[in-house]
Amino acid sequence: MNVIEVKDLVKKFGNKKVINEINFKVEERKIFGFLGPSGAGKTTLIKMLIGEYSITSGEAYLFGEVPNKLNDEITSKISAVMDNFGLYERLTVYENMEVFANIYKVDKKEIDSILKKVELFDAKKTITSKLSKGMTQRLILARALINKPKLLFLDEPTSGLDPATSLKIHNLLFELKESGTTIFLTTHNMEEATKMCDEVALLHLGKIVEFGTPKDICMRHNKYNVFNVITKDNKELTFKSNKTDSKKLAKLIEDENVLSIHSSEPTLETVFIELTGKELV
Amino acid sequence: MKISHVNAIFKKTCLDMKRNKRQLFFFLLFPAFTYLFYFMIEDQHEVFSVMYLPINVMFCSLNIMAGIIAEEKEKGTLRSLMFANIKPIEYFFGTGLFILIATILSCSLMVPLIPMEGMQFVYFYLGIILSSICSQILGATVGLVVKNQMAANGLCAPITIIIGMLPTFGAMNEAFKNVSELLYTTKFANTAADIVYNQPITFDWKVVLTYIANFIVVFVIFHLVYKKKKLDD
Repeated sequence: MNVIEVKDLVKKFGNKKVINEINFKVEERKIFGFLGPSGAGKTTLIKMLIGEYSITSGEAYLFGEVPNKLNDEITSKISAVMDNFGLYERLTVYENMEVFANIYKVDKKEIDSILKKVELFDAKKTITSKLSKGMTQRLILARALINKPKLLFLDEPTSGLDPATSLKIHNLLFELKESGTTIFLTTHNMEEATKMCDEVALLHLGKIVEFGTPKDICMRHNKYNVFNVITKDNKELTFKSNKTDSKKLAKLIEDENVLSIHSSEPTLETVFIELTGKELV
Repeated sequence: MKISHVNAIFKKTCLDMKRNKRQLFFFLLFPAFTYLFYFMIEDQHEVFSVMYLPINVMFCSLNIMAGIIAEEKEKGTLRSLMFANIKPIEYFFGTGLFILIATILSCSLMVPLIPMEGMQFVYFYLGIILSSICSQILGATVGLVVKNQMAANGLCAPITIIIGMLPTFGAMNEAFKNVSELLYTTKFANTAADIVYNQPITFDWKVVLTYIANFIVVFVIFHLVYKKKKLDD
């Protein structure tokens, strides 16, 4: 089942096309990544999908319904973590969760369980304005989980966070996926996308320039097809994928003279640079 | 409109305001002034209750409503509420209910200085409720227009002075009186004066019509602004 379906979607601000006839589908229980540099149109796309921005032309569907005409049942299945979604700074961590638990009529016991998941249980009595950036980000994510969403939009969820906090968020997202949540995330972090996403779309100037699983995309752009080897005597050697070089490489391995061996397929980042001539910043 | 959503917004506002010392101070400001002048000045000290009651209702309802909306817009909490399917009407009702109760409590602090009995209580609290509703709608309009809390305070001050003080100016000047007679704050000030000076209060259609007309005017202004700006614009 497709949770998100987008056909020839266009968004214009004045005469400028920020989203330019894009098409994609996101299947249930997948993590879908939208990748691109700042200004590529990632946030605009999420805002269109959650109904915050109108659609200039084309079609978009969430659970088969048009985004700004979703019924209450579908709305209650969707959550989002956006940079412009704030917290009540004078309230405690628990109280912030309680506000939304009351709105969604969720059992208060769920709050503790979610806070434990995002490792904020010990800070539940802390006033939100006193939280660190990483903790704030985790609280925003925790709040988005209060209604047990079937579809979760995440706009740059780990942007500006330290590696340890990013790892915690990644693990949580994997858990959510396992429990049946479809995740749509935007990022300009290629490592994050490669690690997290089942499918990615590379966005450049509002257009999708590449689409597929991270592995497939990298393999499609693997022009060189070579292996880089570092031997035990610290020599760097390159072997092509042909019979002659394969034998040489096999000999090195047989002689136990290989320190490391790497294939040469590009990363998502190098694919993006190759396709657009621009770096992902 | 879902009552559970209104209830959630009401509880949220109570929790948040409990820790918002600056806004809570607004509810005590004019009762404190009234007590101060009441005990400082010996002659005709009851005039301060008449003067400060309509200003207090206006000041609390307008400033707090505008401040809450402006802050929620500024901090992005309003967006998260709207995303959680809170309808604007549910938001206004939940927030407005808190402000109404707090305004009633604030005005009740002045009650020991105003001798009242029987139906006078009914007219007194009815006046507070109707005036607070009109002021809250004005406050919501200000909240929609401004970008942040600072701007809300800046815009609320002149509105409070003009609409809240006009009954007092009208009592001193004939030209002001003609204008002030059209305002709900004047009608409430008149009710307060009748109670304070122990004059008989009778049901008057003119007063009712003034409240209704004021309500319609502020609501139309709010509606026009809302259509243009929306709640989280």
